[in-house]
Order: sequence, then C-alpha cells, then structure tokens
Amino acid sequence: MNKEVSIKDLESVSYFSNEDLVDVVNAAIYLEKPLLIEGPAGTGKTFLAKAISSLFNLELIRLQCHEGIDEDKAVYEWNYKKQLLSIQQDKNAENLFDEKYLIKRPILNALTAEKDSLFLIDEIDRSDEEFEALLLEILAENQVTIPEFGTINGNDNRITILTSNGTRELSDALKRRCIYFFLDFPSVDVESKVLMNNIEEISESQAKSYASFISFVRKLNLNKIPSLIESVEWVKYNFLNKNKSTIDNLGILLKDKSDQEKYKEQIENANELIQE
Amino acid sequence: MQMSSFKNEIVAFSQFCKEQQFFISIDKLQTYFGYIESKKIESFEEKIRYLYFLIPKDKDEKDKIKHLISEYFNFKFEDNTTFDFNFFNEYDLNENFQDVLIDGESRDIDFSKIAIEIIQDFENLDFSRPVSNAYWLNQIKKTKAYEDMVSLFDVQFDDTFKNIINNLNRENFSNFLDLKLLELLKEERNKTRDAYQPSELDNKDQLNELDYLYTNSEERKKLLEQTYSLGNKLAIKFKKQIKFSNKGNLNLRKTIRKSIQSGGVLQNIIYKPKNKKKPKLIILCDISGSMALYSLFGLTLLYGMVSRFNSIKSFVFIDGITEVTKDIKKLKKTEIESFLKNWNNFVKQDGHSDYSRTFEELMDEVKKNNANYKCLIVIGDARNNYRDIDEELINEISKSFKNIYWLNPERFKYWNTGDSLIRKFDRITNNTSEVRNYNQMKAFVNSIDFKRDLK
Repeated sequence: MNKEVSIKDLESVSYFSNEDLVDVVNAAIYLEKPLLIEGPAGTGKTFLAKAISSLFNLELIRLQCHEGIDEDKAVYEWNYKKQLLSIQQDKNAENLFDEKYLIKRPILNALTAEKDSLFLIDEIDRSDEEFEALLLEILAENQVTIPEFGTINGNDNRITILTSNGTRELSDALKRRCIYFFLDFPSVDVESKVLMNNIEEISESQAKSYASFISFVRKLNLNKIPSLIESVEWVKYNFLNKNKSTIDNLGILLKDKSDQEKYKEQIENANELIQE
Repeated sequence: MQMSSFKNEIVAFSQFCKEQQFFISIDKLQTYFGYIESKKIESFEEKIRYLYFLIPKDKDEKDKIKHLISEYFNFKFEDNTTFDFNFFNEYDLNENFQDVLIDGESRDIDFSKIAIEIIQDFENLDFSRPVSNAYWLNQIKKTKAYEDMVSLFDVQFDDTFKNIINNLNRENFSNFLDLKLLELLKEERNKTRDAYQPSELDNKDQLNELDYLYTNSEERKKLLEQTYSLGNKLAIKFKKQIKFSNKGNLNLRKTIRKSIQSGGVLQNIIYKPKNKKKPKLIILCDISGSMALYSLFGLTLLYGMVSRFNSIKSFVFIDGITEVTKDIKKLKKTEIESFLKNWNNFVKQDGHSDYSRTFEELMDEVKKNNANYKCLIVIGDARNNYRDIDEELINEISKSFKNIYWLNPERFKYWNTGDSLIRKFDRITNNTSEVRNYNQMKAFVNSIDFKRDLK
C-alpha cells in the first residue's frame, strides 16, 4: 500500500504522537508487515489504529481477542443450518462446502476485503498460545487454509496492527513476523497537545503546566498509573470548576485508595513549603 | 559502493552483537536492508534509527540494542520523553535566566553552553587521575557555579500546583545538566586517554543484567515492577495448562440440547470438566539474612503469582515456614518492602536459616491438607548454617512433588562451598538456576514448561 503518514496527518484526526511512532508506522506500511504495539493500558494503542483508518478512509476490521478464542470465532465457520436446509431442498446438491455456506469471521473478512482495510487484532496477549500459531500463516503468508475448501489468498490492500498489554510473553515466532513498537505514557509535549485538543478554552501554557503536573503524578510510585483518558477527564473537570479543590474529585484520576493518599501527602508537603 | 561498505559495517555490528549475547536474525536484517535500499535512506543517522526500529522484537531487546548501538557506533539517541520543562513568567524576573536561554522567544535552554561554563569554572580538574567520571560530576556539583545555576529555580509560588511543577523543573534541569556535564567530561578525558584506561567500558550498566544487589532505589523500582509482571506471567502459564488438561467425560444432556440447533445431529460434543483435584502450586521464599536483597525480588515474584490466582500457596521461611498467601494478597505492590521489615515475625527459633526444619514443616502441611500439590518453586540459597539434612526427607520431598524448581541467588561458583546444600537438592529438582539479575529470572520463567512437566 503506497501510503505515508506524518505527525501532522495524525494530528488532523486528533491523534498526537512523536516522530518515532510515525517512522515505525511508515516502515510497517511500506514493508507490508504487521505492526505490533505493546504498552500499558490507556496509552492510545487501539486509538492509533482507529486514527489511521479514519485518516486513509480505511475499513476497520477488528478482532477482539479473549481467553478461549478459536478458529470458529476468528477465521471461519460453516453455516451448518444452511447446509442442512439446502440438502433437504435439493437432493442433488453436490458441493456442500462451497463459499456460500461459509460464514466469514474477522480474519477471513480482512483477507478478502475488496476495499482498502485496516485489520486490528486487539489485545493479542489475552488469547491462548495456540491461537497465536493460527495467526502465523495469515501474518506471514497472507493466506488462510480451510481443509474442505482449499487455500484462500488474501489481497494486498491491508494494514495490520496488533496490540498487546504485555500480560504474557508472546511467542518468538509471532514477534519475528512483526515490527515492534513500545508505546509508553505520553510526554508532556504530547499530553498538552491532547489537552488543548479536548478542552476548548485552555491556553498552551496552562495545558503544559497541567501536563507536567500529571507526569509528576505518574512518577509517584502508584499502584495504578492514570491513563491518558483519565488524566484528560480530570483536567477537563478541574479546568471548568476552578474553585474546587483537586482533592475532592480525585476519583477521576486515581482509582485506588492508597494512591489517593499518596497524592494527598504530596500536596500537603508542597503546601507546607509555601507556608515556610 | 557506499551501500556495500555500509552493509559490511552492519554485518560487523551483528557480529559484535553476537559476542554480547544478542542475536540478530537474518530475515530481520533482510527486511532492514530492503527498507533502507528501497527508501533510499542516505543519512547515517536515519540508517541507525531504523536499525533501532526494525530489528528488536520486544522491549528488552529494544533496550539492549540501544545500548549496543551507542557502544558500537558511538551514537546517541535523542531522548525526548524524559526531560520536560514548564516555564513560569516568574522565572523571567530572574536575570540569570535570561542569560541561559538561547533566545527569549522559544525558551530553549542552551545546556552545552552552561556546562562548558561550569567546567571552566572548576579549576582543579585532573584528568589523569584514575577515578570515574561520576566522581568528577559529584565534585562539580559541589561547586558554587553549579549551585548558582540550579538556584534559578528558587522561586516561591503561592500556588501548590505551581510549586510542585517548579520542583519538577528543578529536578529535570539538574538531570539534564548532569548528562551534558558527563558528556563533556567524557570528551575532555578522552583527549588525555593514554594516561589512563577507564574501566567504564564494562557493559554492566545495563539494567537487566545488573546484579540485584548493586541496584539503587530508582533501578530497583523499575526492576521490581518487571519482576512483578514476570510473576504474573508465570502464574498465567501455570493456570493455562490446567485448563487444557481438564476435558472429562461426555456431557450428554448439554450435547443433546445443543444438537437441537442443528436439527438433531450431534454436531457439537460437550464434555464435562474433569472431576479431578486441580494441581496446586507451592512457592517458597527464603527471607533469611544471607539472602539480602534477593529476598525482596523473590517475594515480589511470589507476590506477582499469588495475587493472580487462588490455587497458588505461598510460604516464607527462615527456620520454619509461615504461610503468607492471605497476608500478601492484601498488600499493594508498593508495600512489599515494608512487609519484609517485619522480619522477626517469621523467626521461629534462632533466626538462622534451617532448611531441614523448613521442609519438615512443609511436608506436614502437605499431608495435613491432602491436596494435590504438584509443583514446588523454591527461592533460596540452600545455606543451612552447618546443620545437617536427612536424606530421607529429601526423598520424601521428591516423592510428594512431581516438579521442583529452584532459584538460587548465589553465584554459581560458590555453590556447594561451605554450608551450601544445593547439591543435595539439585538431584531432585527439574531445574536449578542461578538467578541474580532480571535476565536470568526471565530466562528461568521462560524455561519452565508446565505442560511438559506435569504430564
């Protein structure tokens, strides 16, 4: 696929990132290799896929992985009822394993899509190891083999993105076929841009100071680090209700009691500094 | 012509990586060259950047190749995530601040200029002395010029929020300045290199290969986080294997019920779950004095496993076992270190590790519960303080557990010296490994194959 993204393009669909990510995405598109994005929850992995699909006007085909996902749910299934009906209707029906009896699941859909598409395999680390093996043929050879039917070759008009939260080590075979990128929490620069995009009245310097404050909160040795969405919501609320203390609405940002206590402690320390 | 010389260089680099225990696969290299050639990337910097993007397969490899590239090509990656500033108007009141800015508009600070000034101010810099650059940095940090520089941020705000950010700015500023100073120092000292060869080329500064014992609190925090997720991964590995071996007899009722969908044809066959005792796992961690910091990492691994599932039991021991499964589940990730501080709660006798008593108590526990314990993971150095251990007991352990894995944080060359009993246990374990750093721990976790071992 002859497409190239730039930071500006992504910003036009309100996705803010740095140059590294853009370079990797371009390389993956150019080499026609799947892109494996790993990172903590809430850093915009899935949103990147959505942004790219809306930027190039691609059809987004999404496969949400979960424990116990298998071939029937992910690749294809035979429409058994239809087969039964047709054999009752027409006794001479010969080939029951025809394309018209095939129910296409996301993977097959993505392979055979006529329109340019973006295939998103979300949270691959939640699936079982056996399922990974199933993906290898699709990712490397761009084809899928159905025993009763034969091999279906895929079209080339596809960008593939895999996301993972890293709860489990992915197999080497899968990682070898992908281009890897680790998406960490956003830098102050990126986060302030996101804030400015989401909150209309906020000025650049205000956004920057909020963003650096959040990066400070993230460094606080917390149990659950606030995600990008949480921080944006928190800033939005505080920005619109300036008179209230940030401690009252801490539940938007930190969702753990000991984390909240840690935050309050830090604020108290800072207040003491002022009084001195 | 140019391309081929570049290729040779990359091949030499991959050879260099091989020596450093990092293996670049050929198809990755092919992809890389293909991309470089067809995109016609000329500049050396870009080429190296893509080397960093396209070769590694996961985060650990990414860190490693970054380190190797910076060592081999002497190339520095721009780190645009760590240091961020936020400017307040109050800073402008400070006259000194105007001097350090490249220009007032864009508010970029010229760190190299500041660094040069500070170093020039520092007179008694003797480069021939065989001390590390960090030593000189510390000396420089004590000087007045340095302190003056950092005092730019001695502004008091009435706002809590601004104060916190100001502190953050100060921290970032000094971090950045330190880096620049170190860079300059290295350069200066390289000029007078013949006098003295520094030992800093030793590539032990990579976090994942750093001995747990020599970590500072910052590094420890990172490593403990990684260790926790390793524990999680190990627990999931154990759990997954149970699920798959759990297919039992035919569930006729459900199968018939389901067959109605397909007009009475038994298309989907449904099985009952096997009504067998689930295999359970015990993890045992030595927290005696000889284990030092390793017990913290051991306990974090244990915590990572236990916090995930119920069927994993955990004990800590010194001279007798204490079950901590319930207590440790209540803890938060950040409270493990303080948990270890209540060390004396776990002392049963004299506070010196006693493996024979420990295992006797463990066997009692296993018999009492009569559960199907199959796996045992022990984290300990097997130093028994010159107490003896009964051969019978070891045989009994071997009989009651199908698989035993042992993580020994002691250096391999000291095994079986003095009061170490690891040889006796080695006989009955599936896997005994030296685990002193993160990489070793990861290799250990990856090497465990419950599916194979539990058959």
